[in-house]
Amino acid sequence: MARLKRFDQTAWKINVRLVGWIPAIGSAVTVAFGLVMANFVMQGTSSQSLTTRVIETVVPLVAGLQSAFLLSPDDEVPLELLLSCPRSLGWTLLERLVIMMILLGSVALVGNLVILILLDYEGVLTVILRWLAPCICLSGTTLFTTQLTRQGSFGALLGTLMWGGMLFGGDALLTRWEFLWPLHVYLQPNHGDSTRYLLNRGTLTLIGVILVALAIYLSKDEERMLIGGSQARKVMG
Amino acid sequence: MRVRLSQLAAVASYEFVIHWRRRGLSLVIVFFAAISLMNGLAFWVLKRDLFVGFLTTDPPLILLILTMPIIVADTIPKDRQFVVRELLHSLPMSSGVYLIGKLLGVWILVFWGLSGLAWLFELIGWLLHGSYNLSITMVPWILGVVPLALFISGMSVLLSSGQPTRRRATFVGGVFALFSLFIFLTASGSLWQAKSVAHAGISLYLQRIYLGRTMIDYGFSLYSLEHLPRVIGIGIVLGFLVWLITWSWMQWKERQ
Repeated sequence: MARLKRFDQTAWKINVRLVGWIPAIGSAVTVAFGLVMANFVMQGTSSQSLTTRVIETVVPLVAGLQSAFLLSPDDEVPLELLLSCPRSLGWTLLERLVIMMILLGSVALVGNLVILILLDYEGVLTVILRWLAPCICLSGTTLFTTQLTRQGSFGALLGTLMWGGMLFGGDALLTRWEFLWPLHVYLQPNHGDSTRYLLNRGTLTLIGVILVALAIYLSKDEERMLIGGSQARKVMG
Repeated sequence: MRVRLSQLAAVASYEFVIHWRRRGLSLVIVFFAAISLMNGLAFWVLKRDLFVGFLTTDPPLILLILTMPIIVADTIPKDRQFVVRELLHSLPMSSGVYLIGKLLGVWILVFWGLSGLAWLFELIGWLLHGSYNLSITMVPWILGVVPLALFISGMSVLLSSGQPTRRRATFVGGVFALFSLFIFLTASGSLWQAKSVAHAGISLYLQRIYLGRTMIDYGFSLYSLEHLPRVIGIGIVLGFLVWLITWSWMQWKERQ
């Protein structure tokens, strides 16, 4: 009953304000710019493949950067106040994550619709999986790093590194170590058969979900959230 | 003047200490070193030029461009978020001194870290190669990596200085990082000849000319020195303009 009661303790309005709509608007503008550039300005065979990659390039990066600061203990000024409330900090984190995913997901879905109208090149499931799995994986990574280090900038740093590394070096990684295909964030559907692609997306989603769960678990440790893990251990003797 | 210089030194040294303690900037330099070393050693194993592997490949530079602006972006906004600015306003210190001090603090750490790396790489080169012409191998550092790092870190600090929170500053830094990456990846001769405003970045252009494909294709020749005055001029003017806009904005906010 107590667990059910928690569902009443939502704070959507304030969390929508705190998550902010500027990153979603920014990613919408960037996606629109990218689609126009890829589809209308560039010519030749690369145009089609670039158009399909615009959303998966932009949206996961924005999701990763935003997740890093969803609940950064070092930046959250009213952290002590939040910790004194009966509602757990994990709920706040989850709420903000859901809001961010809804906002960015809407941008990505509208972009998908445009791609489907323009190209008629890939199926609905493929165009959605292209950005959804990297989004969850990158968000989980940055969220977990932020909770682990208590600094949002470290989460953002790792997220950007992972994004850049996988986007520019992911294929080279597979050329050397082919067995790492389940971890390639930007694996393309034509890289192998459809089962391999689905397994890759599933693995990334699973990793992301596990990291989000770990981040929520870390946020339960109040001393750690307030003064950091090593400091908390020192204080507790 | 003496008081201002001492204020400047105090702000710069404190900012240096803060960045050193936060470890973020040091971590970026360590990542840069690790990737460059791996590249260099891979080139050496493949019997190719060690120094080409150290610095003329894209991965370490992409890493620098992508991460450095994000890490240093909150240099000024963090003072505002932690309400330190109010305290600073009560002191007889001008915005100009504060701004230059903050920039210098970041630059000292960046310069210090990269100079240490340059020395380390030259030492490794000497151990593996024996004697060589130091003036050639130092060119990528002096005209490439160091100006690039100073340029992107300085611009990121200035561009994000108006943000009220570290979160928003990091986003501004992220956008600038992506913009820089776009310039870096597309900085070919044709775009430059079109006199695109986007090519005003001194180091980004230098980077492409000296360390990019040109360097490998022309075997470390100083092929593009003719562009140097124009590039340096545009870079200095651009940096000064951004500094001036930031300083004016801070003055205006203080008067309010």
